[in-house]
Amino acid sequence: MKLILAWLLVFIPLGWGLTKSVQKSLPLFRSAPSVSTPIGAK
Amino acid sequence: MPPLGYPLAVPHFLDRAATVAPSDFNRWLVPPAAIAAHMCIGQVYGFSVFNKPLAAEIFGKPVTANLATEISHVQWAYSLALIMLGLSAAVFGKWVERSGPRKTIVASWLCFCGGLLLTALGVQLHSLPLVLFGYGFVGGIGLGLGYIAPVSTLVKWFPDRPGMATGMAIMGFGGGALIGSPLAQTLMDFFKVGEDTGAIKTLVAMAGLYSFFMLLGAVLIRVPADGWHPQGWTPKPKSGGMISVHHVSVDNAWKTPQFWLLWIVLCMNVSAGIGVLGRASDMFQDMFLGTSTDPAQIKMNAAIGAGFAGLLSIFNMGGRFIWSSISDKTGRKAVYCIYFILGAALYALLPWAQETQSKVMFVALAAVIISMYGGGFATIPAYLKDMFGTYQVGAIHGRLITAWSMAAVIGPLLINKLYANRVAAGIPKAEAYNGTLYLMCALLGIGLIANLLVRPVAAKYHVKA
Repeated sequence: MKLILAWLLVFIPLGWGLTKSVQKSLPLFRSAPSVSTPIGAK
Repeated sequence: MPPLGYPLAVPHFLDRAATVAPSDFNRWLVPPAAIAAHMCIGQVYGFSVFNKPLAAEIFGKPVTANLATEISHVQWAYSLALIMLGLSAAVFGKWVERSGPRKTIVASWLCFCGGLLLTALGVQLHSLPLVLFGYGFVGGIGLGLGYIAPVSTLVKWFPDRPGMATGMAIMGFGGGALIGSPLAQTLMDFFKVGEDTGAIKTLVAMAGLYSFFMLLGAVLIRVPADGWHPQGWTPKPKSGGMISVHHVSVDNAWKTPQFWLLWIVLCMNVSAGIGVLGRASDMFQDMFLGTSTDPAQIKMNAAIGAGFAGLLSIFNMGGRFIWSSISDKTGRKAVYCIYFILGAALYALLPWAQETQSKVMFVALAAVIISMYGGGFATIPAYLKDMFGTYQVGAIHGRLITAWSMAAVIGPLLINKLYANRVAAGIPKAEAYNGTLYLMCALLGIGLIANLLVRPVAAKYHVKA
């Protein structure tokens, strides 16, 4: 019981942080074609 | 009143002797204790979220103002914290070995959470020096103490799988970066009122939250009794003598060529990764998204760049556990050869991914590279244990961490300088990174040579029984 509780206590914040990071990285996968200046232009 | 000489300030339960585990203790309770401490101090990597609010509050300007100069002053707190991390780990390593992990984690908690409170006070008093002293100096000492204490303890608990064990703790440090930044942002959004950014209350609240987890780690942690080893496991030298059954003291360790070769190994691995990690967002935008004057497009590009940086953070964290666990099977020298050879090959392919405008390929290559950067951090304590034994591995690890501090300075410096020179020479931004990427290959090449030169430590350095 103590073992499960100890692991849960560290996995909950780690899982929350991981979820937030995944959310943050989502725009990378949703990126629409760029309408910016073409690559290579100075 | 206790007689003179009695340890007035340090209660008995903090002593190393009080943390020796009973025979029926489950060693799997130690990794969560180590992770709890590391995921708190890993907050340092998320410090940048405070840059703007602290700059605004300390210098009494609105958060919407141009704060570039003020932010550059505030960022010194982060740099100083990383420098102090390396210095305190090196200076206090022997004390950490003597005092045991519980006292060290408590000392780390006092410094780290005390540093957060001093930072809050500094912001309240509009005092930049107090912020630098609180977060950078005091907090930085907390980082160094908290970083090495649980790592050496884990190595002693898991002599059969030291890579996996230290990988878990150091993964916690990487995880701390994933938690620290969104936690601070969520709290600041909650406490924000009008012109008040909520930074002061956030720092106090974070000190409280981190206190809970660090003290949880201090309460849970135990050291194994002398001579303890896992049931059914006996130490045996293998891999051509690359896992020593002898011990080397910290004072002797740094007289050995092995120490300095491993110092170069860590320094090169970190330098190569940190430069890219620090510029990940800008690099992706420059290489794939081009420049725009449309505010909506600029915002979208920034979100995509941040998304790339976020993805790399996940691989940085995961790589710490996965690669260091793999090292238990392959041996430490072999896994570092993989980091250096595969890393250099992947770095060399990044310009090709940019030329072909293959975002998927670029992201995949960078993710593997950064996973090996994390892996390099996590595998080094086990490598030290293989070379120098467990006797003072924490103190030796502490001294080796100075390589990280050095890399934190030279990595970004090299990349930024070379990039700026190439842009100034008229090379398009998208291609200006190529030179820096090839430079990373060269750094990894130096690391590979150092790693290949590592041999078992000569018997004259061994601690006599």
